[in-house]
Amino acid sequence: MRTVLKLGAGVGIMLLLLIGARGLYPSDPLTVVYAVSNGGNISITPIPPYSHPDDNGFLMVDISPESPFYPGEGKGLSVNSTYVFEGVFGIGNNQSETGFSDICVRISSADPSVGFFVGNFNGTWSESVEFTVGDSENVEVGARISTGDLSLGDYWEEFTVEAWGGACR
Amino acid sequence: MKKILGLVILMAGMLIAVTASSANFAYFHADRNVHIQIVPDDNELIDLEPLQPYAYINSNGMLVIDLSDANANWETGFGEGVSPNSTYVFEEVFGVSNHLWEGTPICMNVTYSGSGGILFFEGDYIPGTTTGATNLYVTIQPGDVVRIGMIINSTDMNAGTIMNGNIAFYATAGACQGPQ
Repeated sequence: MRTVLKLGAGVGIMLLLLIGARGLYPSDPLTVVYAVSNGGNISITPIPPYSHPDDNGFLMVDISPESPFYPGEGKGLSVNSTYVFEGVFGIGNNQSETGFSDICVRISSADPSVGFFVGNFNGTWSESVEFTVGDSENVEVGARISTGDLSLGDYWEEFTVEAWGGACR
Repeated sequence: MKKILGLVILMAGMLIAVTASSANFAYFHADRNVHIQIVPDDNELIDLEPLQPYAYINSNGMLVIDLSDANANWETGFGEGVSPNSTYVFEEVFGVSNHLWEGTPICMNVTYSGSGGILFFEGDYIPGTTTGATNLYVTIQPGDVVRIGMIINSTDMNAGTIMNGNIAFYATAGACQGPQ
């Protein structure tokens, strides 16, 4: 039984090895998947005034008096309203860093009150948007925030940026 | 068997290290924050502020225009509403300001939906000149406050009737274009 277990482990590791070997000769799509904790490969740029880099240098969308761009008036959004902000942050692809002439980026919101759209607002938005970013291109992402059922207060929501090599399908 | 296994692990480790150091990235994942403060109407980016007792901000932070004894500012002895078949003009019921952080003018569209006849106008009421609009468009420059008045028409309404409706505010970036 112990031998069988070891054999199983050996086969597992062999698979890993094969995946690793394929990674040496990058094919599209790459089979090796690893996460990068900070955006070293794709560029995420806050566009003032509704987003800024937080204390860790990470993009943060901030519509509160705590934003460094808060001008002293207009502390936030009101209840039962919808705000649409074009160009809140930008996503860029530098081929020399990503290794891809096109990357596919997905922005997804964890909360239905926050939606996203690409470029100018044409009336459509989604909790999850996918778009292709070409080499040296910078795509501006806008946010649509609806405070419909929320009451007065301070809210923190999260959204996720994902990217992978090649144009979106 | 143990030795072979050790060797395999070592090889796998080496190969993965080589892969990871190549320039191509495979996948990127990052979680980022949205921080939003939800504030009363008179504190938001586009403020709605009461300019007289007929208008107030309710406990949920919303502007309410209330000409009845349900108004928090109402006291015994005050008028309890408008009378049938009359037209009331109230100047400066509420103000709409532009406190957007990017300092852009906005075109604000104010509309009413509900019972009774409500018209809106901007600034002072000039008899014979100010007509009021069901669909008011007004440009608000950054930092400015535009004073909105209301004309309430109770023609054909009976005493005791409640006029009830919603005022919608719709703003777009940039000054209003052309005649509206």
